[in-house]
Parts: sequence; structure tokens; C-alpha cells
Amino acid sequence: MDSKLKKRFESEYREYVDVIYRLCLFKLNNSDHAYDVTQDVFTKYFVYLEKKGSPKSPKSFLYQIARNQIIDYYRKKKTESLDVLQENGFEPEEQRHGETYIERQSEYNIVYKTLMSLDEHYRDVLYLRLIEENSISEIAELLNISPNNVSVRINRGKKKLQEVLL
Amino acid sequence: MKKYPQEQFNKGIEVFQHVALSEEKKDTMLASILSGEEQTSTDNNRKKKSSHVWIGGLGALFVLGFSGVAFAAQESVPGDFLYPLETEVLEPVQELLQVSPEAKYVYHTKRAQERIREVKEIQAIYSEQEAESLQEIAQEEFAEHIEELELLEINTTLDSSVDLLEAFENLIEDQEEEFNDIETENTEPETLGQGVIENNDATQEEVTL
Repeated sequence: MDSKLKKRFESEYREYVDVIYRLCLFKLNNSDHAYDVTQDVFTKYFVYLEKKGSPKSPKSFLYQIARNQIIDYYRKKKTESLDVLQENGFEPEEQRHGETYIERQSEYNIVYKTLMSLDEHYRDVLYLRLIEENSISEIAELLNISPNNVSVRINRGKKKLQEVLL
Repeated sequence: MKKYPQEQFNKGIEVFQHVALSEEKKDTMLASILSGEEQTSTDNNRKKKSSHVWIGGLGALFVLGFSGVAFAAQESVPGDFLYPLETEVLEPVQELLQVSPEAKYVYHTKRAQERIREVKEIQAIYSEQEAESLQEIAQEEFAEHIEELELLEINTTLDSSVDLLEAFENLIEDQEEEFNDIETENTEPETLGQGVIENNDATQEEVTL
């Protein structure tokens, strides 16, 4: 890869690494796994840049890679049964620490649990709106849905949120 | 599900918004990605080198193979599988490469000699019937080269043309001797050798300068 493209990658990495890490943390509820998946996302992005050049929208492209990597993560996790993992020395998160990563971090425990209680339709939209503070058009681009659909989901999601908050 | 106060939720949102990797972790991850890229680049270079070796090897094989085929074609006689390659491909190409009239002169002289060699070989290896038609092919080629030589001789105005003419005459004399040898070898009048000689006599008449 030439130095110009490398510099571009570094700049985009610095700009979006926290966004992607937060998304992974929110979806995986484990800081180590979130770190690994984030690294995988940027590695894939790097390879893509080298082969095909810069995508039109790096942020939505990275977001798409992250979603696919998270799906892969859960697929792999599902494939390996708990018994096999334990035979190989794996301890479930609960047993290792007594509580999950989010449960240890009381500040956003509420946010995580509340959003997770919602339907995925609303959860993703609200996450991008409330935590990442994306505009409606940005969310529409990231989720590949229409802005109208985003607005509807945000309104309905907020109503659902009110139902689970005091 | 347990309900949480709106205030706590809003506070939680603020906290979540500030979740980030430490600079140290970011640098480590970036270094890891870049080192992975370097590894990939090395692999790619290795693959490229490997493909270059393959292409070079195939090219060398092709050149060697073609050289071998070309060499075999040059040694072929009428009726051989490679003979058309000699007369239709190699010789026209070689002729094109002869730029000066002198070079063309020498080239056609060599080709005429080559036809004589072919006639002799044909007599040795083919049956009478086969040899008859094959000799015709060789003799036609011979006649063409002789005509070319005559034309070149007439058109050339170079000083060296006299020397070349002498050289050519010497060659023709040698060829006549070779034809005579063929005639001696074929004592029976009905044999193919005689046919060759008759035809060659005709061409020799043309050659006489």
C-alpha cells in the first residue's frame, strides 16, 4: 500500500475506531471481544482499501463490516457448544467475573439493559441516535433504510423507552 | 423487567458516549493491523515473484520448444510434418530479415542448396512414387530461389556484386556436381533419381549465368 493510502487509513482509523468499538461493546457486552472484533473490522477495511480503494462513505462501510463481523462472532459462538469450550479451558463471562462487563460498569448498565429490552428494530436506531448522535439521514445511510423509516422507528422506539423508564 | 429512572438513563447515555479505547490500545491495534498488512504485502510479493518465475519458466519453455521445433523444421524434407513450417513460416521470415541485396543474394543461394539437400534425402528415405511428387515440390522451390538470385544479380549495382556472382557461380558448380552424383547413384533410367536429374537439368539451365 502506498504511503498516501496508508495515511488515509490511519486518519480514518483514528476518526472511527471509538465509534466501531462502542458498537461492538454494545452488541457483544464484552470489552475483550469488542476489541478483537474492532481490530477485525479495521483489518478488513485495510485490505479493502488496498485492493479496491476508498469507499464512498467510510463510516457506513465500516459500520456494515462491523455488523457482519458481529454476526460472524455470534455464529461462531453458537457453533462451539459450551461443553466443548469448557473442555478447552474456556470459562463463561459470568463464572469468570461473577458479572458481565456491563454489570460491572453501573453507569451505563441501565442504558444497556434498557435498550436491550427493546425490539432490535428500535434498538439499533435509538443506539445510533442517542449514543452516537447521528442525524436521521446518517442513520438511514448506516442502516440502509429510508429517512422516513428512521423517523418512524425513532418515535416509536422513544415511546417504547418511556414504557420501560420511570 | 425492572424499570430505571429517566435521569439515570440519561446519565448512562452520557457515560456510554465517552466509552473509548485508550490511546495505547489504539496504537497497539493500529500497529497490529499494519504489521498484518506488511505480512500480506510480503505474501503478495512472494506470490508475484512466484508468478513471475512461472511466467519466465513458461516463456523459456516456449522459446526452447519453438527453437527446437524451428531447428527440426529446418532439417525437414518435403512430406515431413514440419516441412510447411520451414517453407511457409521460417523461410519467409528469414527472407524478410535480409535487408541488403547482398544478404538476400547469399540467403537465396543457401536456400537453393537446401533444396538440393532435400532432394537427396527424399531419394534415400521415400518410395519411388512418394519421392516423385516430393521432389517436384523441392525442385519448384529450387527454381524459385534461382529466379530470385538472377533478379538480384541483374538489379544489384553494388561493387561487391562481382564477388557475389563469382561465389554464386562456384555454388552452382558444386550443386551441379551434387546432381551428377545423384544421377550416378540412380543407374536405372526409370528410377526417380533420373526424374530429378532431368528436372534439375532444366533448373540448371535457368541457373546458367
